[in-house]
Amino acid sequence: MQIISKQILAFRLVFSNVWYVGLFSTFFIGLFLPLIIVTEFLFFEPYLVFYVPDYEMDSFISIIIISALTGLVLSMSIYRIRFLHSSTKKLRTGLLGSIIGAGAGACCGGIGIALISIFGAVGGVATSVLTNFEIPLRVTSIGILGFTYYMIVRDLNRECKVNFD
Amino acid sequence: MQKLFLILIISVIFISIITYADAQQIPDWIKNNAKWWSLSQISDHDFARGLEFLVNEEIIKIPKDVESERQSEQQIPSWLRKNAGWWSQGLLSDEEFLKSIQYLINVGIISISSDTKEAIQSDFMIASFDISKAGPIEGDKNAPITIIMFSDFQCERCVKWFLNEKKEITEKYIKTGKANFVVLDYPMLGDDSVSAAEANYCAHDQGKYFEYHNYLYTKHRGIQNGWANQESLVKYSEDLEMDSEQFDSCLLWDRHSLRVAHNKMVGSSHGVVSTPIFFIVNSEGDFERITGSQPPAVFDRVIKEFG
Repeated sequence: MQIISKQILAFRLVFSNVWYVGLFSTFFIGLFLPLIIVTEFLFFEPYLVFYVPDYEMDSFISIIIISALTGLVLSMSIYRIRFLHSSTKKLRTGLLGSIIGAGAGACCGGIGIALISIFGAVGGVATSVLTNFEIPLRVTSIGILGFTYYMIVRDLNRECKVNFD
Repeated sequence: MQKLFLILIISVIFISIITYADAQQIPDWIKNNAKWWSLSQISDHDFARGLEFLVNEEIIKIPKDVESERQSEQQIPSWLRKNAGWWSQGLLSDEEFLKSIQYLINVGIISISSDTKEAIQSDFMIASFDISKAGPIEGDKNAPITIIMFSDFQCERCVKWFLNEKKEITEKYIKTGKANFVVLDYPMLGDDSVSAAEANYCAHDQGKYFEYHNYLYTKHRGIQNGWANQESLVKYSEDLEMDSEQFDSCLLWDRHSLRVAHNKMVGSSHGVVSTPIFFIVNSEGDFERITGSQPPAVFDRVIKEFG
């Protein structure tokens, strides 16, 4: 119960400012959209099609979680840096988690080919790793982002005493 | 130093654009065909297909008076073989080679059919796609629609599409004779992709193309992690009760490497850079491209619009 009330407090603290809601939306869409294009859930040619097959549902859900957590972690970190003058460490950790999650599963489509053509053999190895370990990498990414989020909420509760009434 | 670097980048981009524009005029697969023809690895007929493509694309123009005397036979003088070899090695420019072909057509030494529809209906060409080195066609060869898939055995999305989405297309179009289906190799994810593609043709030599093709997809485990190395590929041939010694030797001597390279070249000349990519071709030679592992509904709509 205490955990939930801490979440609510942190949420109300950060997202009572509309600017941070906008920031969250920007980070969420900014990651979600490229990811669903790269992982081939959204197609533009020959028609605009959004398609999530049953066998790819786990991948799609993990993309939503990573995008949402990235939005939360980055906007809350920016809030802490701006108003509480905290260090950028958590922001950097959040970014690391997002990058790992975004790279996972970049197989035969755009990113994989770009990696191979730009970095040659090294890019090929990177593509192999990103593809072969797609799910473990996504889980790691969610783990990092989840932990960072937990730490931010804890710090916000400790550092701020706000009376909303 | 920064300026020098900037000039270098601009030069690289500029040269790439020029090369690309040039490459667009004559597809690489035609140059590849010329190389193999000069080495007598493909027949005159196969080489003539490339020339037909150049005529159809109007890269080579047939004068009207020569066209009217068109002959059905394709006679290509043997000395042209030498020229083709030099052209493929870059010793002769595109312009010079095209001029020599143009001259031979003008004087009537070479007679090339410019009838696109005949070329489309041939066994080797589907529109501008040279499928002479592809595996067998699935479905009715005379079906009005052809679905060409460029794939890589190590590509996860190719595998998932093939195992999950293709069933509906097979039921709706291939089994009913409305369309046929052909796979062309576009190995791009490492050496094992090439080996797997070659192995499929080794299986074809033993009459088990489709069995091996489908079996490979069920064995997919990622990229360059051993599931498609030579040892594994030979083991799969044993699983399918093939002559594994013959299969091993076929793989070891890269018997089908040129075939795979040719198919990849066909893909490159049509702008394929990733997999899976599909081309839906109708009987008139028009085609629509579908990039990525798209659902059968997209194929339905494209086929409906084309049909």
